[in-house]
Amino acid sequence: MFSRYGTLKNAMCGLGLVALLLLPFIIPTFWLRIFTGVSLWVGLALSWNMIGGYMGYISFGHGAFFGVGAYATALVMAHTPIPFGIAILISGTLTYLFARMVGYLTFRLNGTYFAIGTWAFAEMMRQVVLLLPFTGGSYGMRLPPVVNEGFFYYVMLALAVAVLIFSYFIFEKSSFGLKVKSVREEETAAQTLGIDVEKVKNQVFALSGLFPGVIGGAYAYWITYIHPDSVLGPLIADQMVVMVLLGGIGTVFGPVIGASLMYIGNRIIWVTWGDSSSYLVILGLAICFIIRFLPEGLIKLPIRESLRRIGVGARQAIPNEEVR
Amino acid sequence: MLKVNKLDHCFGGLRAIANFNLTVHENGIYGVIGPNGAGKTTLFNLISGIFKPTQGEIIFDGKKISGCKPHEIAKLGVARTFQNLRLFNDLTVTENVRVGILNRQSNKTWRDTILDYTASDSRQDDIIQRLLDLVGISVRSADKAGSLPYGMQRKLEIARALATQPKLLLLDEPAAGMNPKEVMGLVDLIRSAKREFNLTIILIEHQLRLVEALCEEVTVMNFGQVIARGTLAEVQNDKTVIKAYLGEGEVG
Repeated sequence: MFSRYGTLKNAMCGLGLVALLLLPFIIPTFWLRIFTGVSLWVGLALSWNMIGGYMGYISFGHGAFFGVGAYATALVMAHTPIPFGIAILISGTLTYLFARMVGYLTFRLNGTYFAIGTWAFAEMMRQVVLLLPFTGGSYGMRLPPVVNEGFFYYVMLALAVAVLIFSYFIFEKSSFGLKVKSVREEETAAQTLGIDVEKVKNQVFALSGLFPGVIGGAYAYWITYIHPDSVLGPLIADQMVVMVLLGGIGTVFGPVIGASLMYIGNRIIWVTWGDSSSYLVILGLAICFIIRFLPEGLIKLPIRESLRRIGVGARQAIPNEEVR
Repeated sequence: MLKVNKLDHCFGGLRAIANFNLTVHENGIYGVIGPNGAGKTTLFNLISGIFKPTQGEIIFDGKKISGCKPHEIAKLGVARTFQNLRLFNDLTVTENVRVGILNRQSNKTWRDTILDYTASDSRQDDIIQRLLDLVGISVRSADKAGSLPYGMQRKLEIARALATQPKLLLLDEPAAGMNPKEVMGLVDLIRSAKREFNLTIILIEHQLRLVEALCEEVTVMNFGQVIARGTLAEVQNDKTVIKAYLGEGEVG
């Protein structure tokens, strides 16, 4: 049973990956940029899902990790000869440490208060960037432009796939993931079973802050012009939250589906109606609809069952099958 | 093995535990009874580290544990169940027990944690199977814990607590909501668990049937204080105990 099912699944995954790798040679630059954006948001949504989905703590501060990452890469590349690849790693390390600090302070709070606390931190970072003398204030920062859409597509795709694989192994397969879920389900019980709840929460928050930093750095170099509103605005964190809710919170593939659909939808509206904020209205309605009728996200639609029969999609609900 | 010395715990102005003393010897089964609100569960919360005592100390295996964090106390070998069940409802029965086992591998490296695929560890699976067999819920091992009937959820809590390899097990009303037949089943279960894992047990219970069958010594609490101690027969005839449960009779 496993072999047939597994082969089919592997074949589908392989085909999908080849298709994604060949994309720059098939589709026009305009669409390639959209797919680069999809990868970016998939990476961000998956990162948010670590703390929001697996840990059950709703953070509205994750936009700050993206923004700090973007500014860190911009600053490093503007003032030093350090190449892009290392600059984004510096960004990631920085946001990891930053998340450790934010987590240390905000995990004294629970539920809504945690959400507000993280949001306040994000807002604080936006103000800091506006005020610091070397970040260009509200004028933002410009990076040396590199016109190579294929390169950025591959970078973002690689990052998204890295976060996906990381999420899968750490949160679905390892005993660390089981610890995290147990803390989400019942903190008190988890403590009395020997789990250092504070430590687990801080580790997850720091990990979920690491990837947005790297992705933010890549974004800065891709777009070449960043300013506080574009990388530190509240809409970035909001979109991560909504994408995860749309696709399916606490699952591996939910955020992928949510981010892809929402970003492509956003771009289609942008193409047809121009650069307006009208899509926010549609977004708002969509959120209401999902929360009301589909609280577990699109991944829990019956479609999933039929997809699974032909070998696609998450199977995390049936761990016993993995044993065989 | 456990010694509670002059323990005090206040919630604001309310003294929930007042000058409480208890000595527990290895391999015994101790009962704690008392009217609702007497401070029994607070006592468990203090021993397991969920609350920090206002005053006094708790010594376990010669080590002071009052003031330690719950996970540190758990690692020393104290496990507990909860009166109002605290299972990981969205995880399967097997996963619930597996969380308890994680406690055993305290000195694993970060690398082991990542590379240890929980699904494929056969040694862990054996331990889980044994524990689920012991409490008699192995047929439901793949179900979500939240979907089990109430009695099975209580047993799962016991299995999960046993998975941490405790020396001292605290059971908070294990028989709540069970009928007399189920209570006798639970008595057998607690006895065999005690034998197999060489446990010392303290249990809070309102069903005297269970206390009678298991406990060598019973402590009666009221308003956070010990009002009587001895065998169940002894305390049942104690005047203060009868007064605490039934109130003072009117003269006339």
